[in-house]
Amino acid sequence: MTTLHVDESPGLFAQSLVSCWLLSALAPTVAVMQSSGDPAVDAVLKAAVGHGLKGGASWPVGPVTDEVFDRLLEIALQDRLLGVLVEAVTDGALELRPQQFTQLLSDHTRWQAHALGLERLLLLVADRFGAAGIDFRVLKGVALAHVVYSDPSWRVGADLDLLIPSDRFDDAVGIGVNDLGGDQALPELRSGFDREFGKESLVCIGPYELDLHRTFVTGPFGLTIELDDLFQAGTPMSLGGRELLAFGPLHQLLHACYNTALGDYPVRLCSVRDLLLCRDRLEVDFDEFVATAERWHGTAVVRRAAELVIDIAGPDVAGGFVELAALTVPRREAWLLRSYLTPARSYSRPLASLAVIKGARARLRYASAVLAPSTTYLRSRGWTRRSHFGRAVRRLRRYG
Amino acid sequence: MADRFAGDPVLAQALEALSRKILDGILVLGPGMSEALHISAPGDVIWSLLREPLTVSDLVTNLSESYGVSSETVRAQIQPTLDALLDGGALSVTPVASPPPL
Repeated sequence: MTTLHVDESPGLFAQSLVSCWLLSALAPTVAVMQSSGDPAVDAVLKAAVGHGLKGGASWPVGPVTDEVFDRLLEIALQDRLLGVLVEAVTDGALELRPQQFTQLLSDHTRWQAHALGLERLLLLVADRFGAAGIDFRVLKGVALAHVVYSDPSWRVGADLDLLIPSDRFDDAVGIGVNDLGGDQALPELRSGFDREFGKESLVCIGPYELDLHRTFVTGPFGLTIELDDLFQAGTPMSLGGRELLAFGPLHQLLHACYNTALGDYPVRLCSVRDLLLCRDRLEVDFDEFVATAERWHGTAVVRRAAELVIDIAGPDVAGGFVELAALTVPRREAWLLRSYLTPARSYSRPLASLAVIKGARARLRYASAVLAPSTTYLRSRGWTRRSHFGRAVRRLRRYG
Repeated sequence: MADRFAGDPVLAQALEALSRKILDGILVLGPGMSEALHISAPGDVIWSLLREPLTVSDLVTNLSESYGVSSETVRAQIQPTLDALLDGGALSVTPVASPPPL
């Protein structure tokens, strides 16, 4: 296998900053998965993650106790597994007591009403973006519900996520804020930062959150993805009489890997299920998949996602991921990955990003924005420039 | 109140309508609805049948035969649901074309 280097000539400044935290490689990292603390609950969650898939864990025989159910529901809500519980009840795999059924019905109905509201917002946004000539791809929950899940109601999601081309990013945010009356939840670090380096911008429109993404993840791995490729193809999804586009199978699977590996800490169980379903239902050429991950300098990401799937869902249901978990990861990527796994990641990821940004001027723009954000940004967080800098130094010293 | 479905028009799900299956029926969100309409089972069958265009009388006959209830009873029972769907823009109603004059 070819060993790839992220950037053969990062500046000395970037190198020295990055090495500050790379040298202390024994820093604590975030747990892979949060245990419920109750083996009975963990067993049901494992069955939920692999439900309907070959090798998936068995559901308990008969209804679970109310204590187990309450904890299960709590985690299912937090980890967006509510739809899978409904799927299992529909399939007859999960038996519930009448009161448990009523509770699940109530929560699931509320989430589905929210999902319909998100889809209505999507149609509205699609109209506005269409009029402005902004291409986009539907991401995450709404896309997966329609493209990968057998029934859209079996995948719940909280937000509407769209990927926007970098050169139209500001226009898209402008439409969300000005035309649709949204509030930008958090201002960008500095003007122009999001369209050049950012991961996303969150716009709250009424009770809904519109997440406009420029790339998959924040930090170095989000900066090495070939973003233009993502708009070359797409999978049609029909909604409200409109044809919208989600990612093509290759990019859908890659996105599911990035989301599982780097999306949440600890990983959300629905991300693991999403990835398992993507593998099961999408036709993706394995060699092309691995080659694309290499080209994006994301082999470490794919490998971590595969390790998480095997660890959480079990090796029986995770067929196909064993090979991915055995991929050789270039040393540089392994270093970059560590920047995501420390509690100081808010600061270590920006430092690591300096190692992959090409060009001294771009690196300088990035570093300036990170070290000295705009007053608007600082004010929105209740920080001053001094407190921001001090906090970064303390956290990097402690964890990095 | 005048019968809004007089003349046996053809009904179908409006293209713009969004829907989701839930454990006890279906949620429908039409473009004119401020919140989703909850149609409990077995009323959700109406929505499923209207995936394909159907005249009101065909819809009534289908339900009457499926549930062994008189057409008059079915018609009376589905009327509020059809009204709510129509009011919320979730239903498309196409009048049946009159035969050309002889």
